Amino acid sequence: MMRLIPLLALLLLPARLSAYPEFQQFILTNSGTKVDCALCHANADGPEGLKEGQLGALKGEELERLATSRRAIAPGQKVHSPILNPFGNELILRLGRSALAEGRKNPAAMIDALPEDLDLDRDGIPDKTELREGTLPTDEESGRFWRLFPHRFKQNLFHIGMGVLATFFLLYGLENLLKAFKSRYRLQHRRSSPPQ
Amino acid sequence: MRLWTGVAAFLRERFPLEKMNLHDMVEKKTVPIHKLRWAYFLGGLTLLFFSILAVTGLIMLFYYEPTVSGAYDSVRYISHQVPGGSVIRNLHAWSSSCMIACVFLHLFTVFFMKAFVKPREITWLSGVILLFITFGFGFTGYLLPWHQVAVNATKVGLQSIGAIQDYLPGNFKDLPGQLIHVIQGGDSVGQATLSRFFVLHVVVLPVSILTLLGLHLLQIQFHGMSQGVDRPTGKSEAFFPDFIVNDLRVWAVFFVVMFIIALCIPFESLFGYPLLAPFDALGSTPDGIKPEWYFFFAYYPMELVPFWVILVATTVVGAVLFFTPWIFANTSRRTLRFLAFFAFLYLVVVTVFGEPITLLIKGH
Repeated sequence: MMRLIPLLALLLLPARLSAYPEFQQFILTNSGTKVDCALCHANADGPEGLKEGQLGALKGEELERLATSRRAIAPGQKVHSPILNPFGNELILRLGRSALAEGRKNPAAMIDALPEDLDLDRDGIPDKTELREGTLPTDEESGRFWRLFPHRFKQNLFHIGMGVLATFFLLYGLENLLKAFKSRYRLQHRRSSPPQ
Repeated sequence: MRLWTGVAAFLRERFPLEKMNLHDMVEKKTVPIHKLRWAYFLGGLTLLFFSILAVTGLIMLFYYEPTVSGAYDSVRYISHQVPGGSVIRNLHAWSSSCMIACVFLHLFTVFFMKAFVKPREITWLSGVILLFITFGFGFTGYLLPWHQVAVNATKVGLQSIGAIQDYLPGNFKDLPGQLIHVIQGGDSVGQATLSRFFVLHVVVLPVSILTLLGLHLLQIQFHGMSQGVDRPTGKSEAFFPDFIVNDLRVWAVFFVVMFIIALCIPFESLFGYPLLAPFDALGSTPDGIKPEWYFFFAYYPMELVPFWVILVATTVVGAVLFFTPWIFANTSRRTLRFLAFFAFLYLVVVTVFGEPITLLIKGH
């Protein structure tokens, strides 16, 4: 009987609550970027279907996790929904499912409600900015390049410094090697040429 | 008989074997100094980017798996698991674009400096073939990550070959289809295509480019640098070691810039993430599929004008490129500068503004 509860919950909840195309529309209008469900969901085609990370493919323990996440109406509940990616789960933790459902009417307000310091992939771009711009909050290589550049530059300062130093020393060595070849060649040439 | 004598004389003049010694090819060689001196570094820069591509490509070969089931994951593995893999892959991707940009600039400067005239015809011809091989590298390499944009853009590219059949007579109509079949290795883009593109990208094209590069560089050493201007300043620098040292300095600067870009700007951040999802054979073609930027000069016009116009234009441009040393032998540098400027302007405008212009004309 206990095993049937999550399944019943799954069947009774309206399917429209599973995916929110309003956010995709908002991102398209706001940034001109066409995004798919992989922004928040485990499967790029959304939660409905039979593929991995979709409702039809869920089994025992996954159904239980789904039911738990669907009960997380208020914020502050850590969930691990099998149909969501880490960012989707983080949204439920931070905002709760009711705020997410409400957010469909006003996506901008919902996105603004996310904390500024939330940056799951640690790429230096706050997740609320990534959401607004339609880049993946779970991939450190996804983001507007002008936002990625300053953060990655600071992060890689040591490597850049070492790269510059290595190139400089290699160049210095090569320059002197070539000049040494030239003087050696001239010297040999002078010795082998008959005296005038 | 007279033809053979002519060919032999032509080759003897282009391959002066008596100059094949250190004195003529290195010690005696000088490089002119004038206001267009910067153009002499473009060929070397192309070589730098090619070297970066060769080294980074070889490193990635240790991990890349050329199968439809493993290619995408192996590329992800290189980017996210292999230490330094991300920077190696980014260096490869950025260098490929920079190499093509350099090849274009090199072509334009050689053209307007009139550095293709006798006895440098073979240098020019080998350079043009090197340009096409570089395009071949770009086209075959684009498919290898096996994501949505890679596979669908390849399909679009191959379809454009198929479109030629409408303009061919009788028995020749089947040729484009057969050619596509040979390239794909089947009826659609799949494992056979990936295997073929992989072999072309890592074996056939590198061997071809190295062979032609050898010929190209040998010709440059035989005939030296062209004066490039109508009124030479009379100043010059020794090729060895002065020019080579300056060349190395330019290489060092560009390498550092490339290294910083590869570390700080992932090449794939320029694409929307849905396009970088693994290719789904059963899914529909996602929006925003485009070839690499260096094919835009043909891609956007193809959206606007009938295909036969593109076909005629590319044939004419290709023929003009091949026969440039003879067509423009008596043209002044001033006229060449004018022509090069307009060709360059076309490339820049179509590459940068091709999409909005296309949308505007189509009325979207």
